[in-house]
Amino acid sequence: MAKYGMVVDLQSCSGCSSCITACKREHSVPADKYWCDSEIKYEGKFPMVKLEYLSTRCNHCDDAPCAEVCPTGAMFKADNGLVKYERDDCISCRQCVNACPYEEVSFNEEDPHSFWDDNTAVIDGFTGTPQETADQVGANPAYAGEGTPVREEGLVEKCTFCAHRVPDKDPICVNICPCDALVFGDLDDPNSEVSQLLDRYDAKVRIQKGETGDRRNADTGPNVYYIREYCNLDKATAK
Amino acid sequence: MKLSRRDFLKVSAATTGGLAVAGLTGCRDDEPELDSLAEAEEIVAEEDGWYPSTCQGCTTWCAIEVKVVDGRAVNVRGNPNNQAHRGSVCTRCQLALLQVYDPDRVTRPMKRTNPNKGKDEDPEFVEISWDEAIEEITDKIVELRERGETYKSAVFRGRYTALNSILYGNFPTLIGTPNNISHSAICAESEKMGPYYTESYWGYNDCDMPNTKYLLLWGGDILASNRQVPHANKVFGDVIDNATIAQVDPRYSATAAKSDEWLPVIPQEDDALALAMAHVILTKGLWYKEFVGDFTDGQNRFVAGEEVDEDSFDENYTNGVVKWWNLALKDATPEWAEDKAGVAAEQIERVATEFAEAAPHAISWVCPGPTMNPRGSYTSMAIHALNGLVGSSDNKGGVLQDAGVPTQGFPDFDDYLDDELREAGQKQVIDQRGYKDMAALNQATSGGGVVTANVAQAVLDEDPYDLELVLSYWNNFNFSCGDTAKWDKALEKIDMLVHMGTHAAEMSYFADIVLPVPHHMFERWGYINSKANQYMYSTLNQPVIEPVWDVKTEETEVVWMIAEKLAEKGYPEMLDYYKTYEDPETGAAPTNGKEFTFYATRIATEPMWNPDKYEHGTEFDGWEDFVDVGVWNADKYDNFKELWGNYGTDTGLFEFYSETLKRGLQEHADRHNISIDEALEANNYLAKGEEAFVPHYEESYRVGDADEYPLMFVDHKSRFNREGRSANSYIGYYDVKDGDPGDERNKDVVKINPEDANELGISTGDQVRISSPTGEIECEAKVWEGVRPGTVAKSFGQGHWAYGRVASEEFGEKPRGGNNNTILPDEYDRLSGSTARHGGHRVKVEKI
Repeated sequence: MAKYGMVVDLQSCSGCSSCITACKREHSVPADKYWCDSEIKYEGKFPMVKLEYLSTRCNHCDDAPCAEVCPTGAMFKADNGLVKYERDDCISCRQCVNACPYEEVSFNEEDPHSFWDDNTAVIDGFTGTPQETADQVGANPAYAGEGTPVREEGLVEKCTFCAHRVPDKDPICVNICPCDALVFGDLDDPNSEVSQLLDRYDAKVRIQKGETGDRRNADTGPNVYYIREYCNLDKATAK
Repeated sequence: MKLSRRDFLKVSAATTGGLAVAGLTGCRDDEPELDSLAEAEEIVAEEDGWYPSTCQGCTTWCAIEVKVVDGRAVNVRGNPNNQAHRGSVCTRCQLALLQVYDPDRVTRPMKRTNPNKGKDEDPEFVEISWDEAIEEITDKIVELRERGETYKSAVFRGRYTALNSILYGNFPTLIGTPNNISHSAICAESEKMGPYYTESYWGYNDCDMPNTKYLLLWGGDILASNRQVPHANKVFGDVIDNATIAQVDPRYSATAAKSDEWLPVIPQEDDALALAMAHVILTKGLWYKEFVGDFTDGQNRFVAGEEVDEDSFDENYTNGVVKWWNLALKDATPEWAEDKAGVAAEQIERVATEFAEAAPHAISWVCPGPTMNPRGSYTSMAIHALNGLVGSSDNKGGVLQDAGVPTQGFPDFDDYLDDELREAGQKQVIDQRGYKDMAALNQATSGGGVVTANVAQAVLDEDPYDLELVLSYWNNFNFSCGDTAKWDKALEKIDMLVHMGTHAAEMSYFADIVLPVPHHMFERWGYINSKANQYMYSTLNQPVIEPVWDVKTEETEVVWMIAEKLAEKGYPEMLDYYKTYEDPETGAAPTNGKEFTFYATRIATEPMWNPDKYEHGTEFDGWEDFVDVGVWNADKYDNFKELWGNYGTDTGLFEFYSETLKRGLQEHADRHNISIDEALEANNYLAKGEEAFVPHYEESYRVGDADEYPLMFVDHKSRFNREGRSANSYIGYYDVKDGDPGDERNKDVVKINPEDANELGISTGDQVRISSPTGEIECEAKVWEGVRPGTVAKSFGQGHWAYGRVASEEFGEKPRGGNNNTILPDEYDRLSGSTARHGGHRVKVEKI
């Protein structure tokens, strides 16, 4: 059985955020929620400023705290390494939200796409309304129609590694990335591109939200790896 | 089994007893005619799948594919058949889906009833049918015709397909006006001045990034915005390995973070930097001798401060390197530039040296940032001239032109004009191009270029005359031109403004008629040409879904309807002319706007898809093949050095001393009976004598008193902008705005260095007012190390007061954030006609 994971090549990543938007569209994620996200850090003083843009998502951990605390088994570790979630078994206790050190599990406090329920027009009679548009093309017109459908409030949710696409196709964030910076594959297969990249480069993982480091220092066994450096800048002057 | 589109149409025709449109022309019964007529009415995606089209969210103009499921566009990706971007798209392409399904699109034509126009006047729109709308427009055309004042009409073009050559190209002449006003001069015309006056290329160079050893970027944040975003993103990880990258920009951009060197130049002082780099290259003897030549005895006489005898140097493919040295470079030392540009002399020297050591595989990439300022034309020349010094012009790993696209022109229309229309079409253009103080030297012709933003002042002054009828499409000039308040006033004065777009925008608020138009990526036919990665290409816009609302294609269908209406009113010439747009395969004349659009697309692109007219590049076996693939690629541009000695400049050489510019300036001076010095002075340049013909230093010109307005304003482009049209996106804009370095999610921020912020008592999150002599806006402050002290930076695209519920705080009333153009001045690089939005115009920032 495969063990799926991801390698993020920080040198190739340009911080364009295409992955975030593609994920939101694929999974009908509300505007204020993120299954795919970023951690952006600036260091240094003008002009020697270093930016690091870390493309983030559920780490599909070996020892997933979210699954461990789930009282119903709705959140569970699947055989292929994915940390999956069965909405029908969820009792909305939100222990998983609190358990994830990366804050990658979110909870829909409100109806996720109520924006599209509004039937007022900005120019009455001459411009569309969210509801009219949604009636034509779906409850959330931004939804790509293939991943996780529109959900109701009161549920937790997170990155699925696009289980509906894998293994035939890469997750949508990988697929859309214009930089070829995201690589997805089987970590147990020594010939996979992810394994080869991890052989070639030192990698770091997220230890917790806002912190990266050596995988040995992460309690959770995260499976999203980061190689090379995001920021290339090493010379800047100003007079 | 999947039916091909052609099979599907055949089946449709057979099972329905023939399509109605076939009966209309009914002249021949061969199948191609049935197909082409039917296809004009068809949506390309008759079953679920991926269909090619074109993204025009910026001017990269990517060939893309749209996934259609149950008639709905659900996804996008790069067209893998395109050699330029090779399947890649940036996030703008996804935002097109948010645009086509935006909740606030205009759904049907509307007509203003409130005769008072103004920002605070409710237009009081009422219903009008398409037919009635066209009737009103046509009545106005006829009225002007009868009064002999046809020239008081205009077409304002914004984002366009190549079918703009109808509405923007020949339609204005056919109604008797010289006024086809492009948005080009608010985009980047000054950038073209360098490539044109050195190597006769009026366009945006391609750059061979995969093979370059040094990438020197001037303002161009190429990972985030124009002109080859997906290609740049795709290759940059390798460019970092293969080349040294240096970014010149007052702001820490997305690309600066990925560069080896950042040169945070003082706005508008890029010319000092570029000239000092040229100085270093020459004094160190690092110029590329195969291209530039050498001293006859091999001894380098380029010594700081010393004149050089022109006869001592034997030039190869360049013109005037010694003249350039003597006139503008000999004293331009790195130390001199340090004082001007605020970048350390040692960095200038290092970058120049390493850049030249990479010769000829070194790119000096001129972009709008350093050139769209009041004296930017010579900066553009100085930056581009560095490519001449290192022999990278038309060379591997260097800066390239393009192979061209084999397109076919539309039928000639001169027979459909009378003398009155012809004469009216020759009148002075409304934008004052070619006036003594507005040279607009596009391709060395006085008044040859557009001065987009100056239309506002011209209309207000009624100089050369007033405008009574304006057809304006896919633009929003009282949002996108500097001094938006001036544009508001000008729009108030236009008797009949017809605004055509997808959204009710700021400009619609001043319109008499608003017409909803299709989205170019999903709802219409067209095509457009572009280039990257050494490939020129032409990509089709295709109707892949049924239009969401009651739209008509402005570039063609609206024109057709006007032509029909004019014919009804006794002016049949325009319709007669457009009926000559016969389908290239069937010979059928168009009978309606949709057929007109379709045939026009097929006529123009025929040399690409008709094997009998094949010239070069991708070979298709017919239209169907072209439609299925969606993009034609030229052969790879790798015939390097062929331009050397054949540049098309007046000397045929790469001109450091520009005889071509000299001719253009002389023509402009002669036109006004003044000297070239006087002409330059009138155009706000300081150069005297021979200096005017070489890239040279010009003192910065910034609007605003430095005491009253102590900070310099840096306008920059967001990677999420579809040219100012995406701020109403439900997702993918505000929720990821921190993807623009320094910006924050769900906010509009002005970025200010901690030094300045401390002095002003401003903290991150404070609400601030930014004011200039032109206007004021409000937004949040972001204290950030990525801006140069003395400058503040803010991205363009927000501050809409009428573009939808997300983009505005309160639609029609209150903007969300601030529009940079409200504080930017109505100022120009008069040599190119460009809007001077950059250059560090002065502002003050106060906590409120």
